[in-house]
Amino acid sequence: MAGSLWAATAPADVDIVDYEIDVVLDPETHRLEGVEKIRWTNRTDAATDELYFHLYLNAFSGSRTTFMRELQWRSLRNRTEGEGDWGWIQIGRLTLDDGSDLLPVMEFVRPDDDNPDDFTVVRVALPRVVEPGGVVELELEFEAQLPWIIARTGFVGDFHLVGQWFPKLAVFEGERGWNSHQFHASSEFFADFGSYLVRMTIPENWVIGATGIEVRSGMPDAGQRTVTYRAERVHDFAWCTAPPELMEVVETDFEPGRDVPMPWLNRARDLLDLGAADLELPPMRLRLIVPREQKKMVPRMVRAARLSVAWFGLFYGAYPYPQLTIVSPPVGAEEAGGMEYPNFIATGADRLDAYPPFSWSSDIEAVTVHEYGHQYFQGLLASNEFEEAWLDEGVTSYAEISCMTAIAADNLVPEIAAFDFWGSERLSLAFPSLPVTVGKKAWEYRHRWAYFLASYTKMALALRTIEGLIGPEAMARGMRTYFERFRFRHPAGGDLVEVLSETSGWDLGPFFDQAVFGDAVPDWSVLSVRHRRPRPADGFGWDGENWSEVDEDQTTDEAADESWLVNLQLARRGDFIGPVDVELRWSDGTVERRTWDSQTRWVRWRLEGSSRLEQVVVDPDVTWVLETNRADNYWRDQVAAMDHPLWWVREAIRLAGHIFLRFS
Amino acid sequence: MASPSVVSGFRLAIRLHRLVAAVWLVWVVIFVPALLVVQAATGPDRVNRPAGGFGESEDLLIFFEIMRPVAIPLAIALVFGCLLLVAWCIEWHAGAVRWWLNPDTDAPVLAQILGHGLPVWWRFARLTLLALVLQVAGAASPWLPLLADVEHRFVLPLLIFGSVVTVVATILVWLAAFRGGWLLGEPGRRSAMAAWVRGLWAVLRQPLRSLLPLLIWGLPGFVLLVLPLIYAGPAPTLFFLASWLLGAFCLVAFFVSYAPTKPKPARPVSPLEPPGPFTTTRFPTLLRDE
Repeated sequence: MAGSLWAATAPADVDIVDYEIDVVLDPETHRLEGVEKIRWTNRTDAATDELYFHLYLNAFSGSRTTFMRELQWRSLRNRTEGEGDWGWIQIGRLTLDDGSDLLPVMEFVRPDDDNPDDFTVVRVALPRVVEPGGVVELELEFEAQLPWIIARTGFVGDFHLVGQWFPKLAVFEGERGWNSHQFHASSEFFADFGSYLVRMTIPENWVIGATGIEVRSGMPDAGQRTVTYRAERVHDFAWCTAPPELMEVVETDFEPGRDVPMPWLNRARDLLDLGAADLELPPMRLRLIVPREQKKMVPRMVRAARLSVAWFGLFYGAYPYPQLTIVSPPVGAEEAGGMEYPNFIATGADRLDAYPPFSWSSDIEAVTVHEYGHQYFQGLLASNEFEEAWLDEGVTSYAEISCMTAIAADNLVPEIAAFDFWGSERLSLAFPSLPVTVGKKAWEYRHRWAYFLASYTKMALALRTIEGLIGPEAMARGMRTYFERFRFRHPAGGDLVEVLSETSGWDLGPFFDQAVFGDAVPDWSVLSVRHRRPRPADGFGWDGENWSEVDEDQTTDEAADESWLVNLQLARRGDFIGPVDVELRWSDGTVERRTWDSQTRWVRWRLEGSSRLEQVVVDPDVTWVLETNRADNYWRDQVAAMDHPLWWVREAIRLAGHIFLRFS
Repeated sequence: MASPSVVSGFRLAIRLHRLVAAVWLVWVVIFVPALLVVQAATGPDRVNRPAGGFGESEDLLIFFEIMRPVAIPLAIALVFGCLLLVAWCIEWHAGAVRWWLNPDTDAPVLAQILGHGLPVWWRFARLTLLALVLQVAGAASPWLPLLADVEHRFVLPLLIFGSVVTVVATILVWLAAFRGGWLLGEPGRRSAMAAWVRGLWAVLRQPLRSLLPLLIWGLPGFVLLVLPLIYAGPAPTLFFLASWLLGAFCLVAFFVSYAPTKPKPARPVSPLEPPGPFTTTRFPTLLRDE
């Protein structure tokens, strides 16, 4: 099974940069010593005479780095830092394939903020130009100190989650040059695809999990052993190791015949209009590394992983790798959780999650689904997380919430309490006092919460709104096409707009311009509704030849007495322009639907009916989940008896329950 | 210290009917304005709830939307209202205790109770603060081990232990405070800590009798006060007021259930009255022998 899928599904020009790394972990000092060989192929149409590397661990080297400044912490995780709490990485030797020493021409650069205390990007001037199609081979030695766990990398006690740990080449974009950014508090990563062969030397009996698959485990020697992992067509490599007393490995698998829920298969078939053969998923290995204290939650973690594989496989496409490693960090290492690397995700669980009421929370499932979703959106569709964080976080959040809603609707995890996942996101978006712009670079948001709100919440809600507008079938087809067209590539936001527009037949450009690249706020309301009886005819009438006085007695008939003229005014209070449905419900039971394009600030509809207009609802299907001011979308002729004048108490209690389930 | 009595609590609450009315009135004064604000915010002028309810996931969102403008002033008002309520409860508790221990009338007017309570208000406030601190400590401490790296097999026992201890500690701390409060009114007693400890001792000596007023009066009183707020049916104002009045009665009855039984006052003896037959309490057997 291993390897066959990789070759079959990736285009030939995927591999741009290959790494071969030998690394030794000192478990006492939490220090890495490595030798790294890099082979970079210039697959662009432009030549270059320089290279850019990321040295991400230097973000944790002191309190003045860009990362720490943006985090506004003066110490790691507010600890009183002791020796070894900070982390750093240092290149000791850097040579070209012809033996020339590049270390003297290596310089630190700060492309984003000119912060002299930031050392996360280096530029290396090459002695020769690399032409299109040309290859550069480098060898370097590095030493890295892992920090006390922060931003999903580092150590806590003997637990090590080793991410962003080696000098990593940035992305060369041809005429646009090298795309490299410093490590920011609110950003993740961007790199080219390639193959990795990594030999990790760890204490002999420790457990290990990593990107790719294990291809060799060396014999123990002097209390150590070397484990070799190989990964192909990935753009990063992370690993985790810990003593067996702390962490345990659970080997299991995803077996489609057993693990794909039938309602999901039917739904995918209907939405995508594909046959069973097109939706067939390959089996894959699941490797869980869990703290022994969380052993009770393993069945739930496994189920969450299998459901994730099923959902994304059915609706987006088969996962092209043979194995997924899932790490659940132990107590104290929670900061390591909730992160994705290729073939490797870190989730999160708490010991209390095994017992009610904590077990009612869907955190285990939601985090697993979300991080697995990143295997697709950023793992396979490697968008630039620095510049368009919303493209992977937002799309993943959309997929995650859709999946979680389906899990709840189909009762696939009976433990979790009823929870309105989309409602929760809408509530989050209702909080900020200023409109939220999504399309920004990750470090340009007003604050960290704005980054989360924009990249995750608002983008997910924007996609949900699109789904409502173009229909679930068009949306499902569009997302699948987006995945199939751009996997193993670096899609940009414009690509998503283009694919969704193409598959739906809608021009979604204006929508994205307002919802994502702008900060337009959708907000419609029923401005007023006035009823009146038609006035009896009066004055003069034209009989075709002459004006003659209208005889009131003759023109007043019973039908006119019973009819109503309704003057309905709708307003667009927000600055978002888009089509919105309006439902008119008449007292005789008739229900009418109209669509208002809301191009103007307000509209007046003059209606006539044999009965009174009983109820008006703007956007009755709640298509525009981006709209958070909804109270004035409803109008009733007779003021309705509310369920209870104090319905707010019930809602307050629900809100408290909601908050508990969300944050427990 | 005498045994708590649910029946005597009932009788005494009837005698203190003016206090019951005052407790009810204060509750109304504190909560009705807040309710009016909320009703105005959520009323039909602001929300036209459609037939069949709001659309998908709309309830919470609309609730948040319409409450947002009033949330902060309302929260401030409620916090101050609750502080006032606590201060008021301390006052009437202290007043009732002092009046009972040194009665100047059989059915005191409100001013008399308040007058009795004011001089010892701070003493009772200290008792309340002490109980609050003990309550927080008692309820929080059993959960602390969960912050440490305990083995998994201990998690469930710790959860159960923590839940039980939290409930028991809460009941114990406040029952001890209520019983201790009746000691704190005695002349010369100023130590809230000593009163609470004696109250605790009394609760431990008579656990069931101490618990009974809580079950008969305390919990129903609380429910009657809070029920109108969460009752999800058509609730006329009269229902609110009646429920709160009953709740106020229960609260007063609950507290005075812990009142010590008072010795009957001795019949006044006139110095001109001829001495009666020889009596003694020191040597009762001598009298029987005669």
